[in-house]
Amino acid sequence: MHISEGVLTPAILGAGYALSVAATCAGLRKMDYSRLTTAAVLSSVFFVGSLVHVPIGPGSVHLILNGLIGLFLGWGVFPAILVALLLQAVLFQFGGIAVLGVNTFNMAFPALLCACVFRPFMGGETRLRMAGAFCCGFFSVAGAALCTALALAVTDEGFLTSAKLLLLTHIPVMAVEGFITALAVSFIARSRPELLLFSVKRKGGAPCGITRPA
Amino acid sequence: MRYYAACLTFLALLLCFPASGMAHKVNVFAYVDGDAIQVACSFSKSRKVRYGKLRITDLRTGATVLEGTTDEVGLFRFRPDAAFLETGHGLNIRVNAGEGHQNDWAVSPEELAALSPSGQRPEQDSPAARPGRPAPAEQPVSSSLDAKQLEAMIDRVMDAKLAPIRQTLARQEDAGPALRDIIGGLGWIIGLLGMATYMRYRR
Repeated sequence: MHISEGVLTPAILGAGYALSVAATCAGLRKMDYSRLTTAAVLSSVFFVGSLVHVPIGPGSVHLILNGLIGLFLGWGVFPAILVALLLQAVLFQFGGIAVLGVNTFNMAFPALLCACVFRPFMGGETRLRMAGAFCCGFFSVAGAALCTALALAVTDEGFLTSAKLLLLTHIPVMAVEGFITALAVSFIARSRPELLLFSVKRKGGAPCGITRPA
Repeated sequence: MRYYAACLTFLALLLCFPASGMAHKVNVFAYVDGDAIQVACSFSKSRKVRYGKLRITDLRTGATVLEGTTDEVGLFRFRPDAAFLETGHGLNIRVNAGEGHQNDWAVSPEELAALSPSGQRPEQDSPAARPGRPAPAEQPVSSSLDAKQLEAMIDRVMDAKLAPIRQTLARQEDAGPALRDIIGGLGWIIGLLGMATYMRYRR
Protein backbone atom coordinates (compact mmCIF):
# COMPACT_ATOMS: atom_id res chain seq x y z
CA MET A 1 0.00 0.00 0.00
CA HIS A 2 2.94 2.31 -0.48
CA ILE A 3 1.84 5.09 -2.80
CA SER A 4 4.57 5.86 -5.33
CA GLU A 5 6.13 9.23 -6.09
CA GLY A 6 4.40 11.42 -8.64
CA VAL A 7 0.91 9.98 -8.22
CA LEU A 8 -0.51 12.55 -5.83
CA THR A 9 -0.97 16.29 -6.15
CA PRO A 10 1.26 18.67 -4.16
CA ALA A 11 -1.72 19.75 -2.04
CA ILE A 12 -2.28 16.20 -0.78
CA LEU A 13 1.44 15.61 -0.28
CA GLY A 14 1.63 18.81 1.77
CA ALA A 15 -1.43 17.91 3.82
CA GLY A 16 0.03 14.46 4.46
CA TYR A 17 3.29 15.93 5.68
CA ALA A 18 1.56 18.52 7.88
CA LEU A 19 -0.65 15.91 9.56
CA SER A 20 2.15 13.38 9.95
CA VAL A 21 4.66 15.86 11.34
CA ALA A 22 2.13 17.24 13.83
CA ALA A 23 1.11 13.75 14.93
CA THR A 24 4.75 12.63 15.14
CA CYS A 25 5.57 15.56 17.41
CA ALA A 26 2.54 14.73 19.55
CA GLY A 27 3.62 11.09 19.56
CA LEU A 28 7.15 11.92 20.68
CA ARG A 29 5.82 14.16 23.43
CA LYS A 30 3.23 11.69 24.67
CA MET A 31 5.30 8.56 24.41
CA ASP A 32 6.43 7.01 27.64
CA TYR A 33 10.22 6.75 27.68
CA SER A 34 9.99 3.29 29.19
CA ARG A 35 8.41 2.25 25.86
CA LEU A 36 11.30 3.53 23.77
CA THR A 37 12.74 0.07 23.24
CA THR A 38 9.30 -1.31 22.42
CA ALA A 39 8.92 1.46 19.86
CA ALA A 40 12.27 0.62 18.27
CA VAL A 41 11.46 -3.09 18.14
CA LEU A 42 8.03 -2.46 16.63
CA SER A 43 9.50 0.00 14.14
CA SER A 44 11.93 -2.75 13.08
CA VAL A 45 9.01 -5.17 12.79
CA PHE A 46 7.18 -2.77 10.48
CA PHE A 47 10.35 -2.18 8.47
CA VAL A 48 10.93 -5.89 7.92
CA GLY A 49 7.24 -6.87 7.85
CA SER A 50 6.83 -5.46 4.37
CA LEU A 51 9.18 -8.17 3.13
CA VAL A 52 7.01 -10.99 4.49
CA HIS A 53 4.66 -11.99 1.73
CA VAL A 54 1.20 -13.41 2.13
CA PRO A 55 0.45 -15.34 -1.03
CA ILE A 56 -2.97 -14.64 -2.52
CA GLY A 57 -3.95 -16.19 -5.82
CA PRO A 58 -1.43 -15.33 -8.50
CA GLY A 59 0.24 -12.54 -6.53
CA SER A 60 0.87 -11.68 -2.93
CA VAL A 61 0.62 -8.83 -0.51
CA HIS A 62 2.88 -8.06 2.40
CA LEU A 63 2.36 -7.71 6.11
CA ILE A 64 1.80 -4.25 7.53
CA LEU A 65 1.33 -4.85 11.27
CA ASN A 66 0.26 -1.27 11.94
CA GLY A 67 -2.48 -2.48 14.30
CA LEU A 68 0.04 -4.25 16.51
CA ILE A 69 2.22 -1.13 16.68
CA GLY A 70 -0.74 1.14 17.40
CA LEU A 71 -1.99 -1.13 20.16
CA PHE A 72 1.32 -1.05 22.02
CA LEU A 73 2.46 2.49 21.29
CA GLY A 74 -0.69 4.62 21.02
CA TRP A 75 0.42 8.00 19.63
CA GLY A 76 3.93 6.60 19.39
CA VAL A 77 2.77 4.73 16.28
CA PHE A 78 3.46 7.89 14.24
CA PRO A 79 7.21 8.24 14.98
CA ALA A 80 7.68 4.45 14.78
CA ILE A 81 6.05 4.15 11.35
CA LEU A 82 7.63 7.36 10.07
CA VAL A 83 11.13 6.02 10.79
CA ALA A 84 10.36 2.62 9.27
CA LEU A 85 8.80 4.13 6.12
CA LEU A 86 11.67 6.58 5.72
CA LEU A 87 14.16 3.70 5.81
CA GLN A 88 12.02 1.67 3.40
CA ALA A 89 11.89 4.62 1.01
CA VAL A 90 15.63 5.24 1.18
CA LEU A 91 16.88 1.65 1.22
CA PHE A 92 14.20 -0.32 -0.67
CA GLN A 93 12.74 2.45 -2.86
CA PHE A 94 9.24 1.58 -1.62
CA GLY A 95 7.07 4.68 -1.70
CA GLY A 96 9.23 7.78 -1.72
CA ILE A 97 10.38 10.83 0.21
CA ALA A 98 7.81 13.27 -1.16
CA VAL A 99 4.96 10.89 -0.43
CA LEU A 100 6.33 9.87 2.98
CA GLY A 101 3.92 12.11 4.89
CA VAL A 102 0.85 10.67 3.20
CA ASN A 103 2.04 7.09 3.56
CA THR A 104 2.84 7.60 7.25
CA PHE A 105 -0.58 9.08 7.90
CA ASN A 106 -2.35 6.31 5.96
CA MET A 107 -0.69 3.61 8.03
CA ALA A 108 -0.53 5.26 11.45
CA PHE A 109 -3.84 7.08 11.73
CA PRO A 110 -6.12 4.01 11.47
CA ALA A 111 -3.82 2.21 13.88
CA LEU A 112 -4.18 5.03 16.38
CA LEU A 113 -7.97 5.02 16.03
CA CYS A 114 -8.11 1.25 16.47
CA ALA A 115 -5.88 1.51 19.52
CA CYS A 116 -8.30 4.02 21.03
CA VAL A 117 -11.21 1.68 20.42
CA PHE A 118 -9.65 -1.65 21.34
CA ARG A 119 -7.18 -0.81 24.12
CA PRO A 120 -9.85 -1.00 26.84
CA PHE A 121 -10.33 -4.68 25.96
CA MET A 122 -6.71 -5.45 26.80
CA GLY A 123 -7.38 -5.37 30.53
CA GLY A 124 -10.39 -7.65 30.30
CA GLU A 125 -10.71 -11.40 30.31
CA THR A 126 -8.65 -13.50 27.92
CA ARG A 127 -11.32 -14.09 25.30
CA LEU A 128 -12.27 -10.45 25.14
CA ARG A 129 -8.62 -9.47 24.95
CA MET A 130 -7.98 -11.84 22.06
CA ALA A 131 -11.05 -10.60 20.22
CA GLY A 132 -9.99 -6.99 20.78
CA ALA A 133 -6.47 -7.67 19.55
CA PHE A 134 -7.78 -9.49 16.46
CA CYS A 135 -10.14 -6.63 15.63
CA CYS A 136 -7.36 -4.08 16.18
CA GLY A 137 -5.11 -5.83 13.66
CA PHE A 138 -7.98 -6.44 11.26
CA PHE A 139 -9.47 -2.95 11.20
CA SER A 140 -6.13 -1.13 11.18
CA VAL A 141 -5.37 -2.67 7.80
CA ALA A 142 -8.90 -1.96 6.56
CA GLY A 143 -8.51 1.64 7.72
CA ALA A 144 -5.14 1.91 6.01
CA ALA A 145 -6.74 0.67 2.77
CA LEU A 146 -9.50 3.26 3.10
CA CYS A 147 -7.03 6.08 3.86
CA THR A 148 -4.93 5.08 0.85
CA ALA A 149 -8.03 5.07 -1.33
CA LEU A 150 -8.96 8.49 0.05
CA ALA A 151 -5.52 9.84 -0.89
CA LEU A 152 -5.99 8.36 -4.37
CA ALA A 153 -9.48 9.87 -4.69
CA VAL A 154 -8.28 12.84 -6.71
CA THR A 155 -6.21 10.76 -9.13
CA ASP A 156 -7.90 9.37 -12.23
CA GLU A 157 -8.41 6.08 -10.42
CA GLY A 158 -11.02 7.57 -8.09
CA PHE A 159 -11.96 6.71 -4.55
CA LEU A 160 -14.49 3.92 -5.09
CA THR A 161 -12.38 1.92 -7.52
CA SER A 162 -9.25 2.14 -5.38
CA ALA A 163 -11.13 1.44 -2.16
CA LYS A 164 -12.82 -1.63 -3.63
CA LEU A 165 -9.58 -2.97 -5.08
CA LEU A 166 -7.49 -2.26 -1.98
CA LEU A 167 -10.03 -3.69 0.45
CA LEU A 168 -10.61 -6.81 -1.63
CA THR A 169 -6.94 -7.61 -2.09
CA HIS A 170 -6.20 -6.95 1.56
CA ILE A 171 -8.93 -9.09 3.12
CA PRO A 172 -6.51 -12.01 3.65
CA VAL A 173 -3.93 -9.61 5.07
CA MET A 174 -6.51 -8.26 7.48
CA ALA A 175 -7.26 -11.77 8.70
CA VAL A 176 -3.59 -12.68 8.99
CA GLU A 177 -2.75 -9.45 10.79
CA GLY A 178 -5.66 -9.87 13.17
CA PHE A 179 -4.39 -13.34 13.93
CA ILE A 180 -0.80 -12.19 14.41
CA THR A 181 -1.86 -9.28 16.63
CA ALA A 182 -3.96 -11.63 18.78
CA LEU A 183 -1.05 -14.08 18.96
CA ALA A 184 1.38 -11.34 19.98
CA VAL A 185 -0.99 -9.97 22.61
CA SER A 186 -1.66 -13.40 24.12
CA PHE A 187 2.07 -14.03 24.26
CA ILE A 188 2.79 -10.64 25.84
CA ALA A 189 -0.06 -11.14 28.33
CA ARG A 190 1.71 -14.24 29.61
CA SER A 191 5.33 -13.18 29.40
CA ARG A 192 5.33 -9.40 29.97
CA PRO A 193 1.86 -8.45 31.19
CA GLU A 194 3.08 -5.03 32.31
CA LEU A 195 3.29 -4.02 28.64
CA LEU A 196 -0.49 -4.33 28.42
CA LEU A 197 -1.14 -2.23 31.48
CA PHE A 198 -1.92 1.03 29.72
CA SER A 199 -5.67 0.61 29.80
CA VAL A 200 -5.97 -0.89 33.26
CA LYS A 201 -3.63 1.44 35.08
CA ARG A 202 -4.98 4.61 33.57
CA LYS A 203 -8.56 3.70 32.91
CA GLY A 204 -10.27 6.24 35.06
CA GLY A 205 -7.42 8.60 35.81
CA ALA A 206 -4.95 10.44 33.65
CA PRO A 207 -5.38 10.20 29.90
CA CYS A 208 -3.49 7.24 28.55
CA GLY A 209 -2.28 9.27 25.62
CA ILE A 210 -4.64 7.73 23.14
CA THR A 211 -7.97 9.09 24.21
CA ARG A 212 -7.96 11.97 21.76
CA PRO A 213 -8.13 11.07 18.10
CA ALA A 214 -6.09 13.36 15.85
CA MET B 1 0.43 -25.42 24.46
CA ARG B 2 -1.12 -27.16 21.48
CA TYR B 3 -2.60 -23.80 20.49
CA TYR B 4 0.82 -22.16 20.45
CA ALA B 5 2.29 -25.01 18.47
CA ALA B 6 -0.47 -24.61 15.89
CA CYS B 7 0.06 -20.87 15.74
CA LEU B 8 3.80 -21.20 15.34
CA THR B 9 3.40 -23.80 12.63
CA PHE B 10 1.02 -21.50 10.78
CA LEU B 11 3.47 -18.62 11.01
CA ALA B 12 6.37 -20.79 9.96
CA LEU B 13 4.39 -21.98 6.93
CA LEU B 14 3.54 -18.39 6.10
CA LEU B 15 7.17 -17.37 6.17
CA CYS B 16 8.20 -20.35 4.08
CA PHE B 17 6.00 -19.37 1.15
CA PRO B 18 8.06 -18.18 -1.75
CA ALA B 19 7.78 -14.51 -2.40
CA SER B 20 5.72 -14.78 -5.55
CA GLY B 21 5.33 -11.08 -5.98
CA MET B 22 5.51 -7.69 -4.40
CA ALA B 23 2.91 -5.06 -4.17
CA HIS B 24 4.93 -2.08 -3.13
CA LYS B 25 7.03 -1.16 -6.09
CA VAL B 26 6.51 -1.32 -9.81
CA ASN B 27 9.38 -1.50 -12.28
CA VAL B 28 9.46 -0.29 -15.83
CA PHE B 29 12.20 -0.93 -18.34
CA ALA B 30 12.27 0.14 -21.98
CA TYR B 31 14.72 -0.19 -24.82
CA VAL B 32 14.94 0.26 -28.53
CA ASP B 33 14.41 -3.14 -30.07
CA GLY B 34 14.56 -3.41 -33.83
CA ASP B 35 12.40 -0.68 -35.26
CA ALA B 36 10.27 -0.10 -32.16
CA ILE B 37 10.51 0.49 -28.44
CA GLN B 38 9.89 -2.44 -26.16
CA VAL B 39 8.50 -1.67 -22.69
CA ALA B 40 8.48 -4.28 -19.92
CA CYS B 41 6.64 -3.65 -16.63
CA SER B 42 6.76 -5.86 -13.58
CA PHE B 43 6.25 -5.88 -9.83
CA SER B 44 8.96 -8.47 -9.39
CA LYS B 45 10.77 -11.12 -11.39
CA SER B 46 7.77 -13.38 -11.59
CA ARG B 47 4.86 -10.98 -11.37
CA LYS B 48 4.23 -8.84 -14.41
CA VAL B 49 2.00 -5.80 -14.66
CA ARG B 50 -1.03 -7.05 -16.58
CA TYR B 51 -3.01 -4.35 -18.36
CA GLY B 52 -1.11 -1.53 -16.67
CA LYS B 53 -1.77 1.92 -18.05
CA LEU B 54 1.12 3.47 -19.92
CA ARG B 55 1.56 7.10 -20.80
CA ILE B 56 4.40 8.04 -23.06
CA THR B 57 5.38 11.69 -23.04
CA ASP B 58 7.99 13.93 -24.61
CA LEU B 59 10.91 14.05 -22.18
CA ARG B 60 11.51 17.73 -22.86
CA THR B 61 8.06 19.28 -23.32
CA GLY B 62 5.94 16.82 -21.34
CA ALA B 63 3.39 16.54 -24.17
CA THR B 64 1.65 13.19 -24.42
CA VAL B 65 2.91 11.19 -27.38
CA LEU B 66 1.00 7.99 -26.87
CA GLU B 67 -1.12 6.13 -24.34
CA GLY B 68 -1.37 2.39 -24.10
CA THR B 69 -1.89 -0.67 -21.97
CA THR B 70 0.51 -3.50 -21.27
CA ASP B 71 -0.46 -7.00 -22.37
CA GLU B 72 -0.87 -10.14 -20.24
CA VAL B 73 2.87 -10.49 -19.66
CA GLY B 74 3.54 -6.84 -18.93
CA LEU B 75 4.91 -5.96 -22.36
CA PHE B 76 4.10 -3.11 -24.69
CA ARG B 77 5.65 -2.36 -28.06
CA PHE B 78 5.32 0.85 -29.97
CA ARG B 79 6.98 2.99 -32.55
CA PRO B 80 6.85 6.75 -32.10
CA ASP B 81 5.59 8.57 -35.20
CA ALA B 82 8.01 10.15 -37.61
CA ALA B 83 6.98 13.68 -36.67
CA PHE B 84 8.09 13.08 -33.09
CA LEU B 85 11.34 11.43 -34.08
CA GLU B 86 12.15 14.47 -36.19
CA THR B 87 12.17 16.66 -33.07
CA GLY B 88 15.09 14.74 -31.58
CA HIS B 89 13.56 14.73 -28.10
CA GLY B 90 13.66 11.82 -25.65
CA LEU B 91 10.70 9.91 -24.29
CA ASN B 92 9.41 9.41 -20.79
CA ILE B 93 7.47 6.21 -20.18
CA ARG B 94 5.23 6.17 -17.14
CA VAL B 95 3.45 3.06 -15.98
CA ASN B 96 0.50 3.30 -13.63
CA ALA B 97 -0.25 -0.12 -12.19
CA GLY B 98 -3.10 1.05 -9.97
CA GLU B 99 -3.31 1.31 -6.17
CA GLY B 100 -0.93 4.23 -6.31
CA HIS B 101 1.91 2.27 -7.91
CA GLN B 102 3.70 4.24 -10.56
CA ASN B 103 7.16 4.48 -12.05
CA ASP B 104 8.97 6.20 -14.89
CA TRP B 105 11.62 5.29 -17.40
CA ALA B 106 13.39 7.74 -19.67
CA VAL B 107 14.50 6.86 -23.19
CA SER B 108 17.25 9.27 -24.20
CA PRO B 109 17.34 11.03 -27.60
CA GLU B 110 20.55 9.12 -28.39
CA GLU B 111 18.72 5.82 -28.08
CA LEU B 112 15.87 7.08 -30.23
CA ALA B 113 18.26 8.19 -32.95
CA ALA B 114 18.36 4.59 -34.10
CA LEU B 115 14.67 4.86 -34.97
CA SER B 116 14.81 8.14 -36.85
CA PRO B 117 13.52 8.03 -40.44
CA SER B 118 16.95 8.66 -41.89
CA GLY B 119 18.15 5.41 -40.39
CA GLN B 120 15.03 3.48 -41.31
CA ARG B 121 15.60 0.02 -42.59
CA PRO B 122 13.91 -1.73 -45.44
CA GLU B 123 12.28 -4.44 -43.27
CA GLN B 124 9.46 -3.23 -41.05
CA ASP B 125 9.90 -5.77 -38.32
CA SER B 126 12.81 -7.99 -37.47
CA PRO B 127 11.70 -10.93 -35.38
CA ALA B 128 15.28 -11.89 -34.66
CA ALA B 129 15.69 -8.73 -32.66
CA ARG B 130 13.17 -9.75 -30.05
CA PRO B 131 14.68 -11.57 -27.13
CA GLY B 132 13.78 -15.18 -26.60
CA ARG B 133 12.93 -15.96 -30.21
CA PRO B 134 14.97 -18.19 -32.45
CA ALA B 135 16.89 -16.40 -35.14
CA PRO B 136 15.57 -17.02 -38.64
CA ALA B 137 17.59 -18.88 -41.18
CA GLU B 138 20.48 -16.83 -42.39
CA GLN B 139 19.98 -15.00 -45.59
CA PRO B 140 22.46 -15.65 -48.32
CA VAL B 141 25.15 -13.02 -48.19
CA SER B 142 25.88 -11.63 -51.57
CA SER B 143 28.61 -9.25 -52.47
CA SER B 144 26.09 -6.82 -53.89
CA LEU B 145 24.88 -5.57 -50.49
CA ASP B 146 24.15 -1.93 -50.41
CA ALA B 147 24.83 0.22 -47.37
CA LYS B 148 21.25 0.08 -46.05
CA GLN B 149 21.02 -3.68 -46.20
CA LEU B 150 24.35 -4.00 -44.47
CA GLU B 151 23.27 -1.61 -41.77
CA ALA B 152 20.06 -3.55 -41.26
CA MET B 153 21.97 -6.78 -40.92
CA ILE B 154 24.41 -5.35 -38.42
CA ASP B 155 21.51 -3.93 -36.44
CA ARG B 156 19.79 -7.27 -36.37
CA VAL B 157 22.88 -9.11 -35.22
CA MET B 158 23.62 -6.49 -32.60
CA ASP B 159 20.06 -6.62 -31.29
CA ALA B 160 20.25 -10.38 -30.96
CA LYS B 161 23.61 -10.14 -29.20
CA LEU B 162 22.46 -7.39 -26.88
CA ALA B 163 19.19 -9.06 -25.92
CA PRO B 164 20.67 -11.01 -22.98
CA ILE B 165 22.39 -7.88 -21.70
CA ARG B 166 19.10 -5.98 -21.85
CA GLN B 167 17.39 -8.77 -19.99
CA THR B 168 20.10 -8.67 -17.33
CA LEU B 169 19.59 -4.94 -16.98
CA ALA B 170 15.84 -5.42 -16.69
CA ARG B 171 16.39 -8.05 -14.02
CA GLN B 172 18.60 -5.67 -12.08
CA GLU B 173 15.77 -3.15 -12.15
CA ASP B 174 13.54 -5.85 -10.68
CA ALA B 175 15.90 -6.84 -7.89
CA GLY B 176 14.24 -6.72 -4.48
CA PRO B 177 15.83 -5.40 -1.30
CA ALA B 178 19.25 -6.82 -0.56
CA LEU B 179 20.13 -8.37 2.77
CA ARG B 180 22.62 -5.59 3.49
CA ASP B 181 19.83 -3.01 3.08
CA ILE B 182 17.63 -4.87 5.55
CA ILE B 183 20.40 -5.19 8.10
CA GLY B 184 21.42 -1.59 7.49
CA GLY B 185 17.87 -0.40 8.15
CA LEU B 186 17.68 -2.36 11.40
CA GLY B 187 21.01 -0.84 12.38
CA TRP B 188 19.61 2.63 11.77
CA ILE B 189 16.65 1.95 14.04
CA ILE B 190 18.94 0.68 16.80
CA GLY B 191 21.11 3.76 16.30
CA LEU B 192 18.11 6.05 16.65
CA LEU B 193 17.09 4.20 19.80
CA GLY B 194 20.59 4.73 21.18
CA MET B 195 20.44 8.42 20.34
CA ALA B 196 17.05 8.86 21.98
CA THR B 197 18.24 7.05 25.10
CA TYR B 198 21.35 9.23 25.22
CA MET B 199 19.29 12.41 24.90
CA ARG B 200 17.00 11.15 27.63
CA TYR B 201 19.73 10.42 30.17
CA ARG B 202 21.82 13.48 29.41
CA ARG B 203 19.08 15.70 30.80
